[in-house]
Amino acid sequence: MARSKYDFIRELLSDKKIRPNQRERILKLAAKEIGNDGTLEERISVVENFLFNQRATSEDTQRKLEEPSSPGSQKLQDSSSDQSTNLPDYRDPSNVYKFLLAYNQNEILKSTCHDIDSDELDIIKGYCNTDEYNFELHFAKIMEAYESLEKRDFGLTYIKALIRGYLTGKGFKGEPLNPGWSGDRIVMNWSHPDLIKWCNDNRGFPPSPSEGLVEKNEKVGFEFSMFTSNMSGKPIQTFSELVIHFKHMFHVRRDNSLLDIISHANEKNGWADKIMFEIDHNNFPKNIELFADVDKLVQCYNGILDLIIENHGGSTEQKPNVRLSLCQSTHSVQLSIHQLDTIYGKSLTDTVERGIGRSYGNLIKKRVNGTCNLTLKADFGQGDFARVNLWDGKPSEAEKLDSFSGVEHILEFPKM
Amino acid sequence: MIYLIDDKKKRQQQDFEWTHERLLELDNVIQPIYSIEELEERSKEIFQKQNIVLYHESFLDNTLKAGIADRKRQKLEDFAGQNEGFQLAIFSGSKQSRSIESNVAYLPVAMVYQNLELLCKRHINGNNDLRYLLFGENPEIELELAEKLDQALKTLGESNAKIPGKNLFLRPVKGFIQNAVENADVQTLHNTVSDEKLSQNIEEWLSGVEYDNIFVPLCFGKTLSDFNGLRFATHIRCTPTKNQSANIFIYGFVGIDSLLNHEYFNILKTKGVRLVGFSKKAFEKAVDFQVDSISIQEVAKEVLKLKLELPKNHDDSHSVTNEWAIQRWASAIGVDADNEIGEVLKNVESNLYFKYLRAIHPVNASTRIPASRLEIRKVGNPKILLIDDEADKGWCEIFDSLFGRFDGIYFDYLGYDFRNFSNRQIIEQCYAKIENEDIDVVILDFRLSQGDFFADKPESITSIELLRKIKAFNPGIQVIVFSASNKVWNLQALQIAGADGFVQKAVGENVNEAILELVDLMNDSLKKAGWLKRVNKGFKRIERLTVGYQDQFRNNLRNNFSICFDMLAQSFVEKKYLNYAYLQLYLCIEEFLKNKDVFQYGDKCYVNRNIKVAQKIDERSWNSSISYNPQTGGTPSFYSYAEHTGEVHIGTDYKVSAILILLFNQDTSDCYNWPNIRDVRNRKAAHPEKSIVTNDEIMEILDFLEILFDQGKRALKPKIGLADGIEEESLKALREKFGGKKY
Repeated sequence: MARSKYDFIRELLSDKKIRPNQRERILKLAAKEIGNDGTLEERISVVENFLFNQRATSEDTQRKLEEPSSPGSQKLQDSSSDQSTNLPDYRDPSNVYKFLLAYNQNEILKSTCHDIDSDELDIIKGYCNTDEYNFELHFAKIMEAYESLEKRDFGLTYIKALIRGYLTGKGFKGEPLNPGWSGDRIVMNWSHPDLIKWCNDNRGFPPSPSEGLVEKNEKVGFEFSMFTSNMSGKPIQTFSELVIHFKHMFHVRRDNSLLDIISHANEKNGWADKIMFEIDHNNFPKNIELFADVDKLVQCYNGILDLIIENHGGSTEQKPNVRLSLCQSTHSVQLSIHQLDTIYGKSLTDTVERGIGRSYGNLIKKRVNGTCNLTLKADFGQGDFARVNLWDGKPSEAEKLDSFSGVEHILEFPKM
Repeated sequence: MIYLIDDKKKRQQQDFEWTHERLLELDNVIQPIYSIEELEERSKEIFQKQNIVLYHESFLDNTLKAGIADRKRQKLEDFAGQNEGFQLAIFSGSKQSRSIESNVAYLPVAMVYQNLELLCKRHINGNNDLRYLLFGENPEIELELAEKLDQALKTLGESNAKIPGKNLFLRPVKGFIQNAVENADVQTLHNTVSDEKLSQNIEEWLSGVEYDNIFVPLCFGKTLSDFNGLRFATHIRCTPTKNQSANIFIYGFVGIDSLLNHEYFNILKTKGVRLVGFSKKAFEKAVDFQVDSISIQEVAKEVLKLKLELPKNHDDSHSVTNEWAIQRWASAIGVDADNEIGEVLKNVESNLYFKYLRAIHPVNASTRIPASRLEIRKVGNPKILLIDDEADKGWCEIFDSLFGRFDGIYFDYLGYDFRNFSNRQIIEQCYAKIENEDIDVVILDFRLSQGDFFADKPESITSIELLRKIKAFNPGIQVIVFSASNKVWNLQALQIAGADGFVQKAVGENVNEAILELVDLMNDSLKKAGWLKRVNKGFKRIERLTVGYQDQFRNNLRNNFSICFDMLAQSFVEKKYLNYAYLQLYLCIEEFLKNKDVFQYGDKCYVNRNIKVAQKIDERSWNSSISYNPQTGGTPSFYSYAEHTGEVHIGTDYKVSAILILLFNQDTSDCYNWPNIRDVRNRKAAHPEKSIVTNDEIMEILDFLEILFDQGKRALKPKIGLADGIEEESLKALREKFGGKKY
């Protein structure tokens, strides 16, 4: 039996689909298991578990293979909750920030999220060591830089899958992404045959030229069949627009502000028909910068609003009154979704001691975890006002407040 | 001051064409900064309340100095927060939206360089509003349009429009509709919207395939509110291509009421042009309703409805008229377009206003003037000078082609650098050239400097001042005023100043007439100049000889010359004025003889006050030192140096003869052509009804005057007149001899 498991490990390690960093991780885990207390079978069983899970659900197991649990992370202590056992390991969202920041600032990868002007063209030609722009060489350099970045930072499966999809049109295992990458199901990517053909037909000219370069050369760059951005609702039909769209998928800033993103989400989902929003622009500055998975962020936002509507009981006569605000501190950005005219559905004790219920569980599992931390500030009834850290890698604790009105969900995006 | 802080030099200079030279031209208003060191060094002058700072958001990104640059940006933002007057614009290549909060703006780099010139202009006039940088000339409208476009792009419709026939779909470079019309040819209109570029587009896209329908975006180019689609549609209608009469659908996201004041609004009033909505469905619908297509025969009639006006700006108007005239003249004369004039012709070819004019006044080959009709009849080796601030835009070539092809005609021009000169400098430069080169005919543009457009009175216009100066120097130089102006007060002022002719820079149907008029005028002018200049030079020489003479005599002489000159000029119209001019010159001799220093008349007559030439004996007889010789055969009468007693007529002939014989030490008065001059005066000049004095005879009398008045030409030793000492005894003897009265 033990023998066969060792064989299994060997077989697994020789599998060509396992990438070097995964292989390295398997070896580490196997070595750790072998050196641990307990029988050999028990140790092998742990490894086997990892491996089977990895094959079954690529996303979660890959994370487990690649990413050790954060030192401070632990599952919420709520044995009475049937959801708590299904809650995932805590994934620190600050890693997303760091990874995306590093991506954006990488000299080579920068050209995948900025259109290309004459200065940038010189830089590309410099590191490609050519006199004329060459897409093939440029892309090879991009992949080289990206794989190096990918290896350097552990975890972040979703964001890495997104970027891989953008760059290669494929998943981790090299499988074509059908119908496309990201929530927009975008077909176009840096490895798309149409793009490659265009680049061959337009040698010396980048597919994503800046406005100045477009005018100077009277060439729009590479065009493809339009899709409408989920984030902004705007049509994307040139490769220059796509690279900026890609940047907007992870870089929130003034010209891609959270306010604009959320406004579009409200419009798209018809939230305004169901919720009475209160947005004071002074409390929702557009100039706050953030590196985050914007798609996931919007999903979190939508999830909270779903919960608000669900709890409100579907009455359209009296819409829930929700105040939105955004602020930042040195270490994080906080998006507040504050329902003003309600009290929290559970008591403070239940909230802290019984843990997270099914609805929150799903929200955290599918959207919040790895994207942001989640904090609840609420009037829990019976004179209980408190702040509870629902999901931040630490055990939930209540911090009593003197008073508080309504229920506020705070999505916190750590920067470091 | 505006400080432009951008490390991306190549992007600035190549992609957006803000070259070092262009920035240098505006260095009184904008200063580029490329390094953190320079930024640090000039920190004090940059952090000033009234300044505008344009800062590249990623200044020095990916360098070791990125942190310092970032802190500098933060410092600028803080400074802007504390000082409302200070304007800060942060731009980036990856920004797509434009926003402004109080005195801080955020915008894409393309907008910065697109509107930088406008911002500079506004800043010079004390306006620091950053909205001009963000949205151009009309910030409010532009912002509204940008929002409308964003909205329109979200509601385009899925499937492409199915429109029968051959279709061409034109789209802007940004914010375009993809797959708008099924199977349509698609072309992109870029941001360069000069007439030249649009004409080039039409040439490329509309010369080959014949289309049924052409879809033109209402908004393209750098500024949405320019509504360039109206202009482009006008171009299509005014350009003779096989698509000149195609249906045109201008698609936009604003209603017709937003376009009412547009310069090219009238295109929407013409048949076959329609404004349609910004969606695929709207295209289909519009074509279904399109019933007012036009035929190629109807195009000219429709174009007339456009009623385009000359550009309102003076400078443009001046230039437009000039260029249009150049094109028309070059075409009528048949000037080759292979040199500088080619540029003008190219511009005229592509300029929409010219296209419109051509559509209204078509030029065809038959309007070319035959070379024989452009013949110049030169006298000697005349010199022609063109003075025109737009000479180098084609006029010099046109005139060179007209006059320079004849051997012996010198042609030159002045004017290419007038814009750098003051009026005074222009006049001095021209005058010097005319004087030094001994110019015969000047072709003078009416307006030589920008200041002339704003002159209070015509007298202060540069050309009129110059004209006066030329005429004062030598009225024989012929000045033909050549101008687009046909205002009466201008013509009057020119006439008063002495202009010899006026030719309009005609642009309409009368171009050929104007050219022929110029050729005729030039032939006349060359004839006049050759003769009148010479006469005037003679006058000047003679005047100089009279420097020591009495003032009254000199004044009279000048008046006589002036009258004479006018008569000579008039003689080109009526020959008899030559006779009058001759008499006027003869009068100068008579005036000269009235001077007692020259000839003293009395019982005793003296030449030069000291040579006694005649003494009265009695009522009928004189003793004279010269004696009369009557005409014999072909020889006219004359006087000779021989004493004579008897009847003597002391008239002009006697007096002049006495001077010639005694003072000039001649044996007879048959010298210096005098007998002939005297006879021409008496037999021809005084009888214009019988015969006309010739130009040579005029020159002969002038030459004679020059000799007569020249004291230097008199003999050092004059001849001896009648003796003075024996006066009384001699007279007594003579009286006895002739039986005179005894005393």
